Amino acid sequence: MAARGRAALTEVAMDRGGMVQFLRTARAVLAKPVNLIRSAVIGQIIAIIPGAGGSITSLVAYDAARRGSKQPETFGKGNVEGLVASETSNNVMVAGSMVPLLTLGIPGAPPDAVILGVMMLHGLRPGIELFTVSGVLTNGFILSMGVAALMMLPVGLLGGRLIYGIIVKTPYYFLVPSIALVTILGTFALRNSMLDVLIMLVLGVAGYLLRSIGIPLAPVVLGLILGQIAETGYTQSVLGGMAYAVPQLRLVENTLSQILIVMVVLAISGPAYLRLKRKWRERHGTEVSSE
Amino acid sequence: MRIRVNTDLAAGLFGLAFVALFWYGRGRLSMLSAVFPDFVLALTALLSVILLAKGLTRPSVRDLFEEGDRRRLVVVTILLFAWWWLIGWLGFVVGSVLVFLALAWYLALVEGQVRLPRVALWLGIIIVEVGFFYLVFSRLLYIRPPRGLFF
Repeated sequence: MAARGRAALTEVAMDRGGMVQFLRTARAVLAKPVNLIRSAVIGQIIAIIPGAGGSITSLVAYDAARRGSKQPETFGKGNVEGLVASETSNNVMVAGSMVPLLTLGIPGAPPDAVILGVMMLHGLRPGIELFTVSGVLTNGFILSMGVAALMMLPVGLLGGRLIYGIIVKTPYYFLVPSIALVTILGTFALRNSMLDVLIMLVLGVAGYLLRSIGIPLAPVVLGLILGQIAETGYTQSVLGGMAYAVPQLRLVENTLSQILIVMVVLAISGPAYLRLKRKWRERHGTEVSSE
Repeated sequence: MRIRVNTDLAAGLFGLAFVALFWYGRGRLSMLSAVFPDFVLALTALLSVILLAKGLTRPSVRDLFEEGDRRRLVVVTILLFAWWWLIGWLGFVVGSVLVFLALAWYLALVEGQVRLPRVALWLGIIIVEVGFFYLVFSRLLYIRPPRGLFF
């Protein structure tokens, strides 16, 4: 498999043509505008939810792109749509997470907590005053995010090419242990625990087995990240709904909850509806041609 | 040897086994502590039953472990667990250098025989790489990697 991947990378490396290559990639990215816009919207919505990070936006956008694609089986095997979806939502999330930070003082992601700390140090309090009393500073801050987003293109092009070149030239028998080394160190660094490393290895094997029997891993990872938030929210809602005969009814009385439920239903039923429509068209088309 | 599996049935059975395991492992949870686990278990059980029904009526079948070489997969997995054990026993640097070298040598065998001078060169590169990460983590980030008999 590694040899196959390496061969594919070498093919791409041979196809270098500077600007031509760049334009070809840009065309591939812009060829699916629905995927691009959907991923941006997903990134923006998730960014506004406090506590949700870039990894969640990437996974949700990737999953939505896979379910919306006509070739879902090619995801994870070189389909650029998955890459576009996860990176678009991830980048949108950076700016989107500023909404709860600047208005409510709630950091949407860990880097935002650092920004909040710096703002507090400089005597800036999130809220209405930030846009009125310190409006010039805040607008400058928002504009600088736009400039940073534009600067990502040249930095990404130069840095990406450099890193890409190094990775392609590294033999796979060095690349695999290097990735394992960084993974082990990263897991250990979280809590200075070797037990965490063992759990990581066991879960790695379990993940491989689950993927083999057709269970996608993205929702499993999402469950791990969101589990704690979901448990707290669900328990609080049920506790608050004790006055009802069915406490879970509390979950659907809020307008925001209703909007989110409708969005979930649409996300689940949308691809199924499109598939049924496609099948119906195929059958209908066959009947017409046979007549 | 091809191993073909009804993935819907397998995933459904896995889900039910998961529910059974955690249902009996709930112990004596208070009503509020049990409210979320109970909800997740009920949802998992429902989805597992749907998968089982689909597995019996319209099954999806796929080849298990179709990617890569199975023996290589097992050896690399064993080496990764050995890595974890050696870090605790010999220390991060010594354990990592040994397993890194073993992994690189084993994976390079796919392309053909690996001669000793090449392995000696690799050893130097591996020591530099592991040493670099060791220094970055211990001196710059103040995260001291585990020590065993050595370091």
